[in-house]
Amino acid sequence: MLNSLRTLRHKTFRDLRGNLNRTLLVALSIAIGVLGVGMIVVTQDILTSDIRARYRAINPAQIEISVPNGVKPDDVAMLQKVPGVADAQARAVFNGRYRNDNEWKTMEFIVIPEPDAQTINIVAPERGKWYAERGQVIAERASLGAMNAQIGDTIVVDALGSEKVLTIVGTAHQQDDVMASVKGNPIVFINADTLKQLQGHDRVNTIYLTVAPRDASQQAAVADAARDKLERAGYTVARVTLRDSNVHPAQDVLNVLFLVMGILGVLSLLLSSFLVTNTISALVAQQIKQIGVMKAIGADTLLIMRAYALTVLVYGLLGTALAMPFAERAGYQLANYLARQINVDLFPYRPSHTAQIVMLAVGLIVPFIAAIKPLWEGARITVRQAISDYGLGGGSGNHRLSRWLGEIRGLPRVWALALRNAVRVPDRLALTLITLMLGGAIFIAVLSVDASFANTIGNLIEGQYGMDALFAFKRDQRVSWVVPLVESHQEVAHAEAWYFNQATMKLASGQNVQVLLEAGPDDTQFYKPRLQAGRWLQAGDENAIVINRKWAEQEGVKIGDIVKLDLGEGYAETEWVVVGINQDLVQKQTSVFVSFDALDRVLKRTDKTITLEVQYKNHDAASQKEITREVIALLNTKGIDVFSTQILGDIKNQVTSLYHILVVFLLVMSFLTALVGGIGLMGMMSINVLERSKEIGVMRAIGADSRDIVKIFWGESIVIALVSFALAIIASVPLSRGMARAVGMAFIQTPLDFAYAYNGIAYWFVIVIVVGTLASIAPALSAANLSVRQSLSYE
Amino acid sequence: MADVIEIEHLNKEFATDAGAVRVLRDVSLNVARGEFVAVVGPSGSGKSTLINMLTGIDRPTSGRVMVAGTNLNRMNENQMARWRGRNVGVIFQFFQLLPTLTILENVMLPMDFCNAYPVSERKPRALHLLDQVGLADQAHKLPSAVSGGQQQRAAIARALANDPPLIVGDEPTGNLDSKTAEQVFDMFGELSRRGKTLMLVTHDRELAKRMPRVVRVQDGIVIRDT
Repeated sequence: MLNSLRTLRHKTFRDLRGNLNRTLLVALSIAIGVLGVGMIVVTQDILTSDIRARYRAINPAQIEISVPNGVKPDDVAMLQKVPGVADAQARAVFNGRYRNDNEWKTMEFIVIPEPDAQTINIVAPERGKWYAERGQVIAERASLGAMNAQIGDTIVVDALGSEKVLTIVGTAHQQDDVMASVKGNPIVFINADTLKQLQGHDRVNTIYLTVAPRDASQQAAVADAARDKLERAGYTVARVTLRDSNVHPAQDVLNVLFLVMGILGVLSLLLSSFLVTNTISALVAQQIKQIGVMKAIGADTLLIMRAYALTVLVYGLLGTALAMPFAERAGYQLANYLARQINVDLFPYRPSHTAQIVMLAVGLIVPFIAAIKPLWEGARITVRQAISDYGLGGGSGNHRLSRWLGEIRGLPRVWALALRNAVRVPDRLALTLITLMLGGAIFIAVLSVDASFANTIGNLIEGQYGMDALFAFKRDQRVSWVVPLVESHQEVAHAEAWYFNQATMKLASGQNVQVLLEAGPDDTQFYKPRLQAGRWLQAGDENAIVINRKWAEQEGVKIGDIVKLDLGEGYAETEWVVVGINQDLVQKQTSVFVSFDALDRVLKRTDKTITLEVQYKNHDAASQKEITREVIALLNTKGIDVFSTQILGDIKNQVTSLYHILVVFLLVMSFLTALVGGIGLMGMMSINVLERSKEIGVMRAIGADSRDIVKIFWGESIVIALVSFALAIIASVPLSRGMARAVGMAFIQTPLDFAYAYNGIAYWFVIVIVVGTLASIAPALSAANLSVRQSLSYE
Repeated sequence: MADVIEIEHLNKEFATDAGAVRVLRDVSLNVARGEFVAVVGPSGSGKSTLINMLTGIDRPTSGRVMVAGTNLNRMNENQMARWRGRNVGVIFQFFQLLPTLTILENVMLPMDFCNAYPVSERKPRALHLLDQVGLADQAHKLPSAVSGGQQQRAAIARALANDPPLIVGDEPTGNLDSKTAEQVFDMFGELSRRGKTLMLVTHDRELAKRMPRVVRVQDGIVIRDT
């Protein structure tokens, strides 16, 4: 037995060497599947471990306390004595404004009292100077792009009503929050002197605390104790935020990405296993006479299976060896791309051992699973069946589908031949079609997810907010004065006074959450709520609040519940009754709504607003910018200072920036599945050429030249490609809907507003024709280059 | 009568791992139009290679092969394919009909490849040829649906599709039972009477005896031509 295996081993290796093209094709098929899975595991492994390590390295705050009126340094030190607090530091964090492209934009200014003594949320120097002197700023490195500036450039900022020019002298790297482009506002670091010039004070207002490891589970209690201590010392605490120091703020989004990519990776592995099944089937079919002979001289089914299992093992090893270096590199590059998006630097390239183990397991086991059926069927064949074959190989085509196609009249013979040849081996065709069909369906579905994102964001932001621009004034303005004034501009359709502010919402459960409080007219013409339950605000509502569905789902808030709103220093806590649950995407779905009049009573003001929403008659981006400029000029002529403006396009870009990362990743994966499909088709065509070598010889013997042969095989490939195209369109509809729903639920906890990507059909048509052509070129040319004698003597 | 086949000092060697094997040695042979020639000899004698030289399936190592007035040495594979489709009808031992085409389509295929007849004439001509071989009623069946003898008759009809002056066959009756082989042989006789030149390789001594001319090949040499 052992001797026979040794002999069979020789046969196996000679077969592999003798059919080098086929060996490479199968190895490539396996490699693509391993690459799909391996790349994702590498990305996940490297990214997760690196961002965790980088995040830990900055010693992230577990508790962040906002004290708007500022806190003395001694009192910050006092917090270190609170039981459970490991360390305490404070910074000044203020929103100001800077002029960009002749418009005032919001900018976040941070003062780190002693940059070299940082112990929490450590900001690292990057380029240029590290200490900003008076009149200088250090820009957060990801903010330079947002400001469209470089080190050495100057920026104009608002300093208590006058303009001040600051010079960018360096960059720093801040990792305790998502980057500027996602957050929306550029971040710069200044010193206390500059802060005084800009704000008129140098108070630190944001306290960072870390909790001693033994008290980690007591984070909330420690935060409460720190808050009490501050309040007993006479400070008003506006907000307390708890953070998990082990989890980067972007980890949630990354987890969704990994989930979606993982599903697509497994899918590409499945598709590549189809290719292995196809090729092993063809290999067995091609060697059926040899199997018959081996059985005739004493080999049993198990021995035959073991011999061919060795072939599969070699294919698996080759495929895995091919894929591993690519997967490692591509995975690292993908991780690097993602890391850049969240403003984190990866550690230098190194292999992922987890991914290596996964790839070895997948690359060696999956081909065996894929090969079991064809191997079993081939090894069980009887000697009589095996050696009775004669004539032209490659399937008789004598089945119902082929006969039905035979009924189609009027096709040129060469095309009829191509069409019927395509269905000659139905099992092989089915697997190839499934591979290509799924490739196409996934491609269209990915584009549909992209289109659905755009549609959802369009509906939720443009449709929901309805305005074109948001104006923030430097001081409160009378509503009855400023609204008619703005509406007097000929391009303005409508204006409404709105209020936006951060607030703490205290739930009946005792949980406190940070919300964006929005208040507008009861009869707003702009805001169109998407109510999930209850009702919208009505005239006469005194203490009605509409909350975001996020709070209903995550915190269990229901219609009729009473919540408290803490608007911060100087305002009493007020009670509100939840009357509606709304879906709103901005500010990470934290917004809650009360009526403007009801809010006026809390704020003890009348006919005042500091922000104004304005709708124009034209809504394109150029008009929005131009009219905004004109309205600012109009307001200035009446002595009204505009603090900042934001046009809807900018808000939309902020919301979409994160989703685009997902779409880029999905497209990478859909490219992989298309590649698997293409290789599958090429594999099928190569097998067909091998099997039909005699037939090619016969055709040449009766007058077919190379062009005819190429035409037949190209035609067959295109027929398969077109059938798969039709099937892909059908399959793409439910797949697109499912994917849009799943991605929507994962990202925004609600299905996306579905939009089918019709342009995806056109793109896939072009791709499938190119794939069909490329897949058939090599096999068709090799068929055309076979001499008649080679073809006819083929076994 | 002009010769359809003119072979002069033909030599053929095949390169193998064991070295060059000389399969044909200085063969010279002429066959006139309308002749019906049997090529006989033991296995490995070189008779199939000799036939392959006439169809252009194999190229000579040296010597000259002229068929129907064309020097085959000078054509590339594609030119050879077109020329063969028009001038030589090839019949194989295992029929070699394309399994996905009907009998009728198989017969029309050489006309398509060589563009030998106007499109409108191809089908009537194929049906006429099938009628001549007694297969008109089987025209729309796939090869797998008819018997071996019927497949070989269809292969003969295919060989006649472009009305070539020369028909060659390598053991065309080798896979048929004796009764069917007899019918097929009669068909070849009829073709010869109609002026076609036929050159057939056969192992069947009885059939060979009935052919007007027999070329015996042994060890690559024509040892007898009667």
